[in-house]
Amino acid sequence: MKLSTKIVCAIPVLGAFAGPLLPGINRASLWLGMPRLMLWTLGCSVVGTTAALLFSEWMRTAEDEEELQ
Amino acid sequence: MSTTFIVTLLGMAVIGALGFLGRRQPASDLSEWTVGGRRFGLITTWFLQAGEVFSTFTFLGLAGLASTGGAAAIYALAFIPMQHLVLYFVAPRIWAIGRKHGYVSQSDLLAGQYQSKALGIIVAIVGFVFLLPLLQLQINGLGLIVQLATGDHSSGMASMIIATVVLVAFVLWAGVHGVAKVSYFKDAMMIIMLIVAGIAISLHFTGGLGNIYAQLAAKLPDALTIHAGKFDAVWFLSNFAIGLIGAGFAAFPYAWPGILSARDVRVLRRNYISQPIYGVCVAIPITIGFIGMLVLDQHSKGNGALLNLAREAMPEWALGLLAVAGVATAMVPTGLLLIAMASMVIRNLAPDSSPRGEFWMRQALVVGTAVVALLLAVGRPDALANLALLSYNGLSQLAPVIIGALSLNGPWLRTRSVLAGFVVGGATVVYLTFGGIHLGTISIGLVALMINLTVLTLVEIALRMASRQQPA
Repeated sequence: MKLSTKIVCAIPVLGAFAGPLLPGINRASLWLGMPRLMLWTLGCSVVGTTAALLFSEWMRTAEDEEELQ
Repeated sequence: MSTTFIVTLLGMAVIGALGFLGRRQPASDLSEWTVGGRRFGLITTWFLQAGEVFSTFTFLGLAGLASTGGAAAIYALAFIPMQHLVLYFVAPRIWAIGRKHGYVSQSDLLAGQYQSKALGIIVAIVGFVFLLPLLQLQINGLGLIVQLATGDHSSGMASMIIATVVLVAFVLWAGVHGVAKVSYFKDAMMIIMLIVAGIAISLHFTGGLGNIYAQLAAKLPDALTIHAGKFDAVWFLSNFAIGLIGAGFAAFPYAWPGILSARDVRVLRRNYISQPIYGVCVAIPITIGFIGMLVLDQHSKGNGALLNLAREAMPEWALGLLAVAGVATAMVPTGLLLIAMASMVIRNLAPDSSPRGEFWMRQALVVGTAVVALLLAVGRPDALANLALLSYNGLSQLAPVIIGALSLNGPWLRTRSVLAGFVVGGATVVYLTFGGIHLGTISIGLVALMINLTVLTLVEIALRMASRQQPA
């Protein structure tokens, strides 16, 4: 796995783990009518994960394909 | 007989028919029955894997957790979609190794990769023991859904028996094909009915979806945050971590039929790219749980929150459809559990049996396991409820064993080191669960995994040093 793929995949995971620890996120107020922590977590786990996986797929090479055939 | 129960029974009949339609003839050999001849395309694989992610835990447990623990339930919103980030890299390797050697279950892949029958037998036995509580929990959840929807205890009891009989019949006939067919219906029903229930419940209790969190922020602001108490940041992060590790590294044996049955690795990878979007659905039961926190009394909160709210807000026929969605949500993972349990026992405890012997063993194991789980669900509904957490935490200890086996050129860790780590990790889970030791709010599974990895590392280093010191 390339370093760039590892970094991009780590971003949403680190973001989701940081959520409850960030005072600006773990706060009793709303963003777009939803709890901040919920919207942040959805952003990391759904949008961030999908984007990271699309990036990983885009970065795949023919060698990666052959390895599993 | 209430309208709700009649609709539920009709729904079960549809589920049974779909399950039988999965195959025109009974599945012949174990590979066809367990992994569908490794021919499933993107759509079938997608539904099958979505089927195992969304179980009665999602349907009842998350709404219940949100109704009592508030924002704590958001941890599932983190690990359920995010597990696919790990599976994207792990599952294609499992599939490639499985296809190369003809493996049909987690334990026979591990036994084969490590070339250790003992490891396969231990993993099969431990896996079977840990999966039984989960099987019972799904059957109990199914009964609870119907009981809460109808308001009648005997309807819930009858549903458990009918659903188990239907499930055993179509799983024996069609195997993973039948479960896959039912999973189409299950996911369509679940999405539609969760959206309908979310809208109906929010309109009834809070005047619309837009008002739920505004009312919570005004009345119960603490519910929107992770704060000190039973569900603090340590609880949230440690449960997120162990959930991500366990599910991401395919430590739960019931996830394997969905991986091994794929046609090729591209199907798996594309599936994992799209699965996180479906994870948005997890927010619906959590939101309904938040409504429960606002309006339900202490007695009605917990696992019954979603259906207690729905009973007030929806007509009987719609409640019946919601119950059908819940029943299907229980039956798909139950089917995968039965397939995983039977296949790992047959492949590891009776590896040399003839095709005919394998066939009869499969029948006996599926029927026997389902009967035991049903008897426990009917007779001792609370007996194994606490064991479900033990199951998840215990099975998560397999993650290092799986990671060590994922090299295409053979394992890169020694059998003795992974086995030592797994045994110590599993024993730690049992000891911390039943030993009366209080570690605060941290997940027992994560603590045990740390000990597991420490033991594994020390044994691996010792074995490598010992092999270097031996004369050539």
